[in-house]
Amino acid sequence: MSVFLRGRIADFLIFVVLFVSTWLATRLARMGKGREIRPIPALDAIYEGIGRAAEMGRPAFMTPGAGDVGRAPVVAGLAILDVMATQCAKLDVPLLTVFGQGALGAAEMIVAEAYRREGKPELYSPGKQVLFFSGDQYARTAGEAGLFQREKPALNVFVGDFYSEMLYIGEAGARVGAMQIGGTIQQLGIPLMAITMDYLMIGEEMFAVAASITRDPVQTGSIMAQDVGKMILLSISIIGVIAMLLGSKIMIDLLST
Amino acid sequence: MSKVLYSVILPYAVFIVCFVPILSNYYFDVPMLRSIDAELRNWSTLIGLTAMFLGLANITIYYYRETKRRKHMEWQFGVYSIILTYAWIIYGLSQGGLTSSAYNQIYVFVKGHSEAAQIGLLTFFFVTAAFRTFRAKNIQALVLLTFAFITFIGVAPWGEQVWSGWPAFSEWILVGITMAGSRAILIAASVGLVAMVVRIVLRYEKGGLIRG
Repeated sequence: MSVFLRGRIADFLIFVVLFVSTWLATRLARMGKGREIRPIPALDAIYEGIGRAAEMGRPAFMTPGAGDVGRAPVVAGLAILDVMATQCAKLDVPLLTVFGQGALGAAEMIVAEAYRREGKPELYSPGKQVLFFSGDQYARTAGEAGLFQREKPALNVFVGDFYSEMLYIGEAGARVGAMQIGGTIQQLGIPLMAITMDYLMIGEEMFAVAASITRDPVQTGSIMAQDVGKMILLSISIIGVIAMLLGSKIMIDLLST
Repeated sequence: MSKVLYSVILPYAVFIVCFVPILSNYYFDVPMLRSIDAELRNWSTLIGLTAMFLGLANITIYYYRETKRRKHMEWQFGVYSIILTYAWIIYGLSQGGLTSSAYNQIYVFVKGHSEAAQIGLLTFFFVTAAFRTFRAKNIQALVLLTFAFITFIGVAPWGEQVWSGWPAFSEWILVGITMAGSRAILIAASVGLVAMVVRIVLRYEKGGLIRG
């Protein structure tokens, strides 16, 4: 009798390979054997946008949608918030954020810590910068649109879980002339972001935040591991397609074991 | 030392203690793992409930102070919010909560109308966003516009009158081309997600949550 649940052996092996390759790649990177990763324009544009906000004397805005900290896109959004809050504190740019109830505490902690780290704790206003509008999708959207009209941010960053509301928020931001950067893995949100954003991160790009912004060798090492994972999955897909064309279901049987 | 203990070591230890059994339970068929997983999920529910009560106490105190000071223009919304919250709780508890059809109907009618009002407010944004969509600024926008046009006509009632094959062509774009692209994005995103989890577990992620 197998100790594995049915259909989970392949999952487990892929996870182990990714885990080991991430660990190995980061070890190699620490030894100076890492490699450069391509720049992601959307992430580089965050610094440009905050600089623009400083010059215009307008705030910067960031939201990861309504998800909680259990959602990976929201965790990626929190990583970007950390970078933004640090840069905003450096340039004295007011940062406004809207979070759902499940990530509000984490966001407050990150923003307050960033201002403290830069030696400007007095610039952080509790309850005024990290905002909560509603747990309801469209109530939050209306609140954000109103915030854009009142505060007229120079930079809007949307990285996290976004669905149909993206069209409304993106349009509201575009109407006040904000530079807009978006990133999501939601298939419904991607085309709507493509329409309304100046810069777009598609899928996995948003998970490479720390590596791309900081150029930290350890972080870039883990991006190498992601490439290994993609190669494995691509190989499985190609072999599966060829096997199916030849009338064999070997790959399906292997993956469902 | 105590700051590092409470802000770094302890949260990380709690994370590992919860992460390992839950992840293992996903892969392995071990009864003990199942019971640990169920126990941890029960704790999660209890923590959530506690947070809800704390939240209720918090907003009550916050809005009470705001109403007393009347410093901001929005203090009336605070009064409205508190009255409505407690009215819902008292009425719900007295009527048997979710088992009461009257309670459910009030909820559905109030929420339905509120949502309709919110979406009505946003409709103007939809119109201008649609205009922005249909400006072919570059080659990518032109491709998007072309495919959007084909699928729009395909699902329109009169699309079939223009060309009988149009609905099938539109369907093929959605289930063929779009699906292939979507799955490629999803697979790459899943790999990125696993890599991020590994970075958090190994404490390489500098995302603010696991610092130190």
